[in-house]
Amino acid sequence: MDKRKLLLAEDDQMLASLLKYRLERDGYEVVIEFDGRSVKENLEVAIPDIVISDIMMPYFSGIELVDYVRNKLNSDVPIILISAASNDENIVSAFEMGANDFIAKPVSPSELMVRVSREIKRHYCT
Amino acid sequence: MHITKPTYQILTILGIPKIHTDLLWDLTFLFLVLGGLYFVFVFFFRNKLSRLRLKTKGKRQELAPIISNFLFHSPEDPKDEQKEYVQLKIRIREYLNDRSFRKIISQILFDLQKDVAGGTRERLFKLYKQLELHHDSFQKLESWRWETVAQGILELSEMEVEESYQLIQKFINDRRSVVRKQAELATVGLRKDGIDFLLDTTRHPISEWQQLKLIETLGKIKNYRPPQFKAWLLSQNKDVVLFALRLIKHYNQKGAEASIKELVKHKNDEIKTAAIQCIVDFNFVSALGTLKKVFWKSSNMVKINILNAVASLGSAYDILFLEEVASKESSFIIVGKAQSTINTIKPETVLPSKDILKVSHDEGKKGSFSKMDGEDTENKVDAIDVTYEEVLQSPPETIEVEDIEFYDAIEMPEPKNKTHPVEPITPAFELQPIEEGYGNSIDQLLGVLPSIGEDLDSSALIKGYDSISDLEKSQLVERLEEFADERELPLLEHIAENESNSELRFKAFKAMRSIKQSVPMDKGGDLPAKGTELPLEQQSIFYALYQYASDLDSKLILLKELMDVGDEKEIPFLKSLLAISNGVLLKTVRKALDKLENKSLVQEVTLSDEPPEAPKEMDGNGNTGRVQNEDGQKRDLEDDERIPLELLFLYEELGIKAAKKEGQDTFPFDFELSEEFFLGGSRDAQNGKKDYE
Amino acid sequence: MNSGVFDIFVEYMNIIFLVFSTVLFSMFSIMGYLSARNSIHYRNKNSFGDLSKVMASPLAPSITIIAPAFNEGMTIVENVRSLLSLKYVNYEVMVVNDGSKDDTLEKLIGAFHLEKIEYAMDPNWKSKPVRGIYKSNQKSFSKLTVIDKENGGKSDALNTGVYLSENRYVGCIDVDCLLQPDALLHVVKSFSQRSQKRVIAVGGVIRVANSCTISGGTLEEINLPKNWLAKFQLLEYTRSFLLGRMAWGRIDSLLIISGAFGFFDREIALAVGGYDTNTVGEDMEIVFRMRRYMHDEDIPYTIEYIPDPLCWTEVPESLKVLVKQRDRWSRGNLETLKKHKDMFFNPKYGRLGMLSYPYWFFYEWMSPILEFLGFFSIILFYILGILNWEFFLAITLAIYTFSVMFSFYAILWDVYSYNQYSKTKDILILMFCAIVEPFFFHPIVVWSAIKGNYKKLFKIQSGWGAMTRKGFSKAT
Repeated sequence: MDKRKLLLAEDDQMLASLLKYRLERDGYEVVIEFDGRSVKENLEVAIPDIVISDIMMPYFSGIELVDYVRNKLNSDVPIILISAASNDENIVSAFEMGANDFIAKPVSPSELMVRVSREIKRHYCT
Repeated sequence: MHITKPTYQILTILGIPKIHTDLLWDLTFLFLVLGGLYFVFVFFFRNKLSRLRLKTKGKRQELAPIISNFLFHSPEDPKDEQKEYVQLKIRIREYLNDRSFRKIISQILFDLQKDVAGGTRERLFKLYKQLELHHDSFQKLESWRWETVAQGILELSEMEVEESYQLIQKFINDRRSVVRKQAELATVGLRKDGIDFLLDTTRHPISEWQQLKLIETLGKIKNYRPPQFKAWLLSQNKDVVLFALRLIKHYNQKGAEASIKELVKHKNDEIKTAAIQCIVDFNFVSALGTLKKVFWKSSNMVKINILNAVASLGSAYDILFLEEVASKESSFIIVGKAQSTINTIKPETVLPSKDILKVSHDEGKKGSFSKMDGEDTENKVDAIDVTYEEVLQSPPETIEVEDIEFYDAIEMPEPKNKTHPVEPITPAFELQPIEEGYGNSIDQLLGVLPSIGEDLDSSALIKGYDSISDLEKSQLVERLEEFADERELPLLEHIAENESNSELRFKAFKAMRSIKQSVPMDKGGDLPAKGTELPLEQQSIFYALYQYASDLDSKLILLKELMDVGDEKEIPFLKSLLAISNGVLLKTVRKALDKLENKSLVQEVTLSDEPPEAPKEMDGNGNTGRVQNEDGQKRDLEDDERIPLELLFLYEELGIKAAKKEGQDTFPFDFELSEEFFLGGSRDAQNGKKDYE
Repeated sequence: MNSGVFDIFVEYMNIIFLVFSTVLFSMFSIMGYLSARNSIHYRNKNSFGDLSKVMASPLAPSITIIAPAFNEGMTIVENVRSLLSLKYVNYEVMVVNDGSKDDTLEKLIGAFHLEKIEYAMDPNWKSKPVRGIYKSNQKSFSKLTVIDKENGGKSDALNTGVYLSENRYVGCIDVDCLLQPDALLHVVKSFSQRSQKRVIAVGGVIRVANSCTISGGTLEEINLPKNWLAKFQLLEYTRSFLLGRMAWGRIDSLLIISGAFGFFDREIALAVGGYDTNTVGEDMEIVFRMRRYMHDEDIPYTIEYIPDPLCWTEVPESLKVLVKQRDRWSRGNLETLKKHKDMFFNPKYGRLGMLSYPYWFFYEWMSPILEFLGFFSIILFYILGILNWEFFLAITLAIYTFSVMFSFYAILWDVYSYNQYSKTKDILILMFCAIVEPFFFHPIVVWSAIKGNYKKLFKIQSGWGAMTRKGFSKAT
C-alpha cells in the first residue's frame, strides 16, 4: 500500500513538527501548513487522504476549512480537528458541518495516531 | 530680553519677571534630540524584535526534529536510528554550554509542554531534566527581580520538577504578590498534599482569580484524591474559608453539612453567599430553618440568594415564610423574588394582579435543578434525594488503583475534561465488557439512579443525567458514544442541547449522528425491518456473531454458547435460523430454542426491558458474573487486565493481539471479524450493528 | 489707554502662557514616565499563566455585556453574533433596543429565534418603560437577551440593562465594537485578581479598526487606516490610551472609562444610580460618581485598566461626524466637571480631588479654550504690532517639538509593547502624522471643543449627534 498522504494544518510550529515526526514514523506522508490560506491552496491542488487541522488557524479557521472541503470541494476526506479548548463552541458547529473527529489540546500524539488510523480504516477499508 | 519699548523703563517697578527665551530654545533643542532618539529607538526595537524572532525561529526549526527524535526515541528502534540518536545527544551537549541556546531550548520545551499530553509529555519532562535545564530555573529563584523568581517557579512547576517543592514552598508567604501567587500554584501542582500545606500555612488573602487557577491546577493532578476540605472551614483566614467552600462544592463533598449551615450565620456576606450556594447544590434541606432565621438580618444580595435557595429546596411548608417576606419587605426586587419563589414551589399561587407580574421562575439560576423544566419541585427533590443516598453507598474502590495503573501503562488517552480531576473510576462500568456494557452500563452510570429500574424512560434518564457530577457525565457520555442506540436519543438530544461543556455536547452529537445513520441502514438490510426497531431476530448479539461464523463447527459452538448464556431475546433469532438450517445445525437450534423458552419462563421480569443484548447471568448490579464477550470468549469480570471496548483499538497501537492476551479461550478459532470490527466500526457498529453485513 | 500698562498686560499674558506650557511639559513627562513604569509592570505581571484555561471553569464569575442599539439594523445581527462567540463560559449578552426606528428588533427576532418572555419590571425604576424582553428559543443562543424599550438615549438604555442583568459584573459596550475573543477573560481577571481592594470598574484600550480586515466577527489583519482623519485619530488614541490612561492607572486616579468598553461592578453601579441621563458625557460621569461613592463609603477600591488591545472600533472618517463627536465630548466633559465641582482641590477626595480633577479642569477643559484665545491674541498682537516675535517663536517651537516628541514616544511604546503594525511604512506614516498633526488635525479638535463649550455655556440645545457608521466590512 502506498503511503497515506496527510495534511497537517497547525500554526504552532513546534507542535506541528513534533506531530509530523510522529506521523512519519508511522508511515504517513505528511505536509504541514502553518496558516489557513496555504491550507486552502494546498487543498486546491490535491486532496490528501486525511486532514488534521487546528480550529484556531490564522486567516481560515478549522470550521471554514470543514465547510470548504465538504461544500466547495465536495470531498468526504476524513477531517480531524484539534481544538485548543475542550469546550470550544466551535466544535459543535464544526461537527455539524461534517468534521469526523476532534482531539483537544494538549494533544497526546499516540492518541492522535489512534484516531488517524481509525478514521483511515473507517473511510478506506469499509 | 531685548524689549526696547520706551515705556518699559518706567514700569519696571511693577516687576515683570524676565522671560528667558533662551531657555525655551534650549528646551526646543532638547525635545528635538529626544524626538530624534525615540525615532531611532522605534526602529532599533523593531529590528531587534524581528531579528530576535528570526533567530529564534531559525534555531527552533533546527531543534524541532532533534527534540522530536529525543521524545519519540525508544530502545527498540532500528540500529541506524539508535546511532542517530546518540549522535544528536552528543551534538546537543555541546550546544548546551551556550546560555542563549539553553534559553531557547527550555523555552521550546516549555511551550511544547502546554500542547502535548500523555506519554509524550512525561518524556518531555524527563528530557528537560536530562538536559539539566532545570538548573537554570533553580538559579532564577535566587534572583532579586520578582518577575525572574516568578518565572523560575512557573518553569519548575510546569515542568513538574518535584525536587523544587521544598524550595518553592518557602515563597508561599512572600511579600511580592506575583511570586506568592506562582508559589501557591506550584505548591499545589507539584505534590498531591500541596493544597493541604497551602491552606494550612497561607496568611495572605487568596483572590478569586487565584482560587480558580488553583482549582484548575488541582484538576490537572493525576489520580488526585481531595482531602476533606471541611477541616479548613474553621480557618482564621477569611479567604481560606471561602476557598474551602469552593473546593467542597467543586469536589462534591457532602459531609460538611453542619459546618456549612453554621457559616450561613457568618458576618461576611461573601462567605454567607458561598455557603448558601453550597446548601443549594447539596440539597441540604435541613438548612432551610437557619436560612429563614438569618434572612431578616441579611443584606439584599444575600436575601435574594436565600430566596433562590428556598425556591430550589423549599416545599409547601415554606410558603408561609415567603408570604411573610412578600408582605414585610420593602424592596421591590425582593418582593418580586419572594412571589416568584412561591410560584416555583407551588405554581399559580400568586396570580398576576397587575400587568407586571413575573410568571415563571427565573431561569439560569444556579441550583442543580436549573436544567430540568419540571414544575413539580417536590418530585424533583425526591429524585435527587435518592440519588444522593445511592451515591453515598457507592461501590467499593478496591481494585481501581491497579486498574488505573494499567491504563497508564498503555497510555490511555486521558479523560479530556481537564477541569476535573482524574478521579478513580468506579469499576462498575469501567470493567464492563461489551454486551452487558451495552445497555447496562448506562443504567449503572446513572447508577446511581433509582428511577431507571425497569425501562429506559428517557425523561428519567435526562433527570438523572442532570443530577450527576460532571465527571460522571463525561464518563456517561463517553459510554453513550460507544453503546447508545436510538432509545438513548432523547437523552443524547438533551445533552447535545443543554450541556454546558461543549466537548460533551460534541460527543453527544457524534453519538446521535451515528445512531441516526445506523437506523436507516438497518432498514435497508437483507432482513425485513419493523419500524425503527431492529428486526427481532437481529436484536440478538448472536445474530451478528452468527453472520461471521464461517463454518459449521463454529456455528455449533456458537449455538451451544447461546444455550448457556442467551435469553429470550435470542428466541426470534433462533426461530429465523430454523427456516434456513438443516441437519445437525437444525437439531442444535431446536435444542437451544427449547432451553431458552424454558429459561425465559423462570426469568425475572425485571430485565425484560433492558437492552436486548443484555445477557441473563448478570446479577442485579451487573458487577460480577461471567459474561459473554464480543469474540465469544468468556471473560471474567474480576480480571484486572481487561480493557473496555472503546480502548480495544489500543491493542493494535500496542501490537497486542487481543485473542492471545486472553488466557481462557473457550473457542478454538478466531472469528474473522475481530480486528476489523474493533477498529473500523467500533463506534457505529455497536449501536446498530450495521457493519456486520 | 496707557500703552505701558497694556505692555505689562501683554507681558503677563506671555508669562501665563509660559507657565502653562512648562507645567504641561512636566506633567506630560511625568505621565510618560508613569505609563512606562506601569506598562513594564503590567507586562511582567502578565507574562505568566494561560488565560484560556480559566474560561472553562464553571466557577468563573458571571458577567453581562450590555449593548445598547439604536437604529443599527444594518449591522446588528453580525455584531451580536460576534459578541456571542467570545471565549468565556459564564456570560450573557443583553442587547437593549433603544426604541430604534428601523428594523433592528425585527432583525434580531428573526436571526436568533427570539420569543417574548414575561418579566416584572420595577415600576419605580427610573428608566423609560420596557416594551418587552426577548429570549431565544434555541439553546445555542441562550446567552442572548434582547430588551425592547422606548427611546431614552444611550444612558437610559444602559441603565435598563444594568438593572435587568443579574450577574455580578456588567460590561457596557458599543454594539458596533469588535471585541477580541479573549476580552472577557482579561476583564474578569482584572476584576478578580485583587484581594485587598474592591475593583469597581475595569476599562480598556480602544483601538482603531478602520481599514482592518474583519471577517466573521474576528479581526484578521491589522492595517493602518487609509483615511487620513482616521490615521490622526489612531495616533491620538495611541497617545491617550497607551500613555495617558496608563499613567493615571498607575497612580490609581483614572477618571474616565470609554463608553465603548467599560465594565462595572453591578452592585456599585446600581448603588450610585447608574448612568446619568442628563449628560452626554455619561461614561466619564459614572466613574466620577462611583469613585465619590466609594470615597464617601470609605471602602478600599480601585479601577483597573487593561492596556491590551481588546476592543476595536471604527472612528469617524468624515470631518462633520468627527466635529460632532468631539463637540459632544467637550460638552460632556464640561457637564461632568460642573456637576462635581465641589471636588475641585478638595482634599477629602485625595488624589482624585487634588490631582485628577484639576488636571481635567485645566488641561482637558481649559486648554482648548486657552489655545483658541491664544491664537486670537497672537493675531491681535500682530495687528497691533506688539507681538513679541522671539518669545512667540520660541514657545511655539518648544510646544511643537514637545508634542511631536511625545507622539514619537507613544509610537515607541506601541511598537515596544504590541508592535501591531508590521510594515515599516506604516510606522513612518504614523510619525509623519505626528509631525503634521499640530497643523491639520489639532485645530479641528480645538475648534470642536470650542463649539461644544460655546453651545453648553450659551445653552444651545443639542443632542447626541448621530454617528453614521459605515459598518465593518463583515463579509464572510
